[in-house]
Amino acid sequence: MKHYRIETIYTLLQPLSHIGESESTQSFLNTTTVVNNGVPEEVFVYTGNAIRGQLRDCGARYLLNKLQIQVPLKAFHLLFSGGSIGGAQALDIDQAKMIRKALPLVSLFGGGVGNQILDGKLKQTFAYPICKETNGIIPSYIEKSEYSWRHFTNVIEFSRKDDEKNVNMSEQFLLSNDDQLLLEGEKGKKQKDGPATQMRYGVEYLAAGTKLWHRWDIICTELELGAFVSTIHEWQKQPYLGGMSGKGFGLVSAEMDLITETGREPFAQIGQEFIKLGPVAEEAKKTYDAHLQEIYDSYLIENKEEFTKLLSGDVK
Amino acid sequence: MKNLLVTAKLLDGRVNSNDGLFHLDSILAYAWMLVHHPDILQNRDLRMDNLIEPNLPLAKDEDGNWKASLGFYKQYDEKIEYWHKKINDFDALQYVDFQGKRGKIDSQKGFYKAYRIPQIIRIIGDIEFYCVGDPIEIQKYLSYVTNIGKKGSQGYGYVKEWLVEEVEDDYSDIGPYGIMRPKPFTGELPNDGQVYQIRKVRLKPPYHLHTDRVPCIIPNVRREA
Repeated sequence: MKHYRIETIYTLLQPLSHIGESESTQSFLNTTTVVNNGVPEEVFVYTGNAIRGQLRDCGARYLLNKLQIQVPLKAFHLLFSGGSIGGAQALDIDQAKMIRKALPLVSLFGGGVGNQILDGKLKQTFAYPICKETNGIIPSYIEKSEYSWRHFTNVIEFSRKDDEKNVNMSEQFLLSNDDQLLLEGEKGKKQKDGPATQMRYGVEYLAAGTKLWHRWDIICTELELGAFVSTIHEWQKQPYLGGMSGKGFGLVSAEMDLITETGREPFAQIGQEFIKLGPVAEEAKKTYDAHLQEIYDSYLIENKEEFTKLLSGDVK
Repeated sequence: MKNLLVTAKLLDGRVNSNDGLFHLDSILAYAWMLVHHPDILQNRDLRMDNLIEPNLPLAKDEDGNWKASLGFYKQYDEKIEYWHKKINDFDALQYVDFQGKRGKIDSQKGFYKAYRIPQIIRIIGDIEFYCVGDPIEIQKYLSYVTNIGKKGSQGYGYVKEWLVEEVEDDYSDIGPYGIMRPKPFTGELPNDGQVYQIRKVRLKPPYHLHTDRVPCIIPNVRREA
């Protein structure tokens, strides 16, 4: 096993929404207290759980797309959400090893199989904005900011309209009450002139151009590092963070560096339309892809049932 | 073996811990297991009949316990934060084989229940431990410990740097903050002006096990902020 330390600088290309609390129709950014140079400060954080959950989903998609299979719900739950523990079945260490060997993604992210927990191998920090409140937290090679993270935030207001109340549209496209009655009987009868379900709501966001710093510490094999690279490779297809990506939020670019004893080298570069892997990432991904090909050839062509049972923890 | 002060310099001061107690021997035992028995550690194969006595680079006292203190720190704040877990019903449409049956996932209860789990997050300064041990070996094992406390996988308890320094006296048992680690309770509390609690705990790692626990005096690890 090797220790891989990977640092990422995310640059927001669109505003970022990552909600902490809501009050009425206003949503606020997620904040927490940190100790910065010995002083407690409040600052925005993008949680590690959010980053990890998104990458786990991406890794599971990559795996199932490569193997071209659908899996039972229990196996899906393990791959995408880490599974649950419970049930009478017991899993011994040999079977745990078998799962780790066959599924480096599960070995890396961990999961509950049967009544046994498989520890994950990923450790990380939260993602912090590069700002005055994190000057003592982010590494010294990053240029310090004089601005508070509060300078990078604002609120944007949205309207949700109830088009049923739009006379021009409803007259043209909405069934009249009489027609509705004919089609669906009394059940389908709607109360005319009921209250409109529309509102104006506000979302606090972190401005485009803000940079976030994040670090992974992964003690794993090269094959498991390949599974990690596969998650990034899949995420690059839609490189978004946070919520409301359907409304234009969350697009980012990412510069990932591998920290070595002698310095740092590029690990992966993710732009708007490309991904460029560094030599270590490229090699690890090749190893992982070869492993998936081997699984496909040896398990799935002739013995698909056994493989899906393994995924569900049903082997004994 | 030397008298040592070990300091965990935290990245952001946020650790996830219910009781706020960090044992240096337990942290080293985790690293030792990771180096020597990774399969057993990571597959949680630590049954009662399968306990392994780690060979830590620490001295032992006359009772056979490791000479290592609890971690002492300044605590600035304490918060409840939540983590969430929910089945990915969006991707289920594409990747789940419902075998011709009606696909239904109940995230309200049962196996696929969605969770919102509260956790106690302590905002603290650097953590000080005292021990008697081999500084080079201790530094080597600590390099495997990137996070302390719970949920390191989510980013809590990230340790920016471990410092190991020699000190003049052995403070692993009694030191600047009074009693420095849980000690069996013999009926009387020390009259040294410190605050203690009494609770049943183990005297050696793994501390989470509920076996071999004895009533102990637990030091107050929180110093004035």
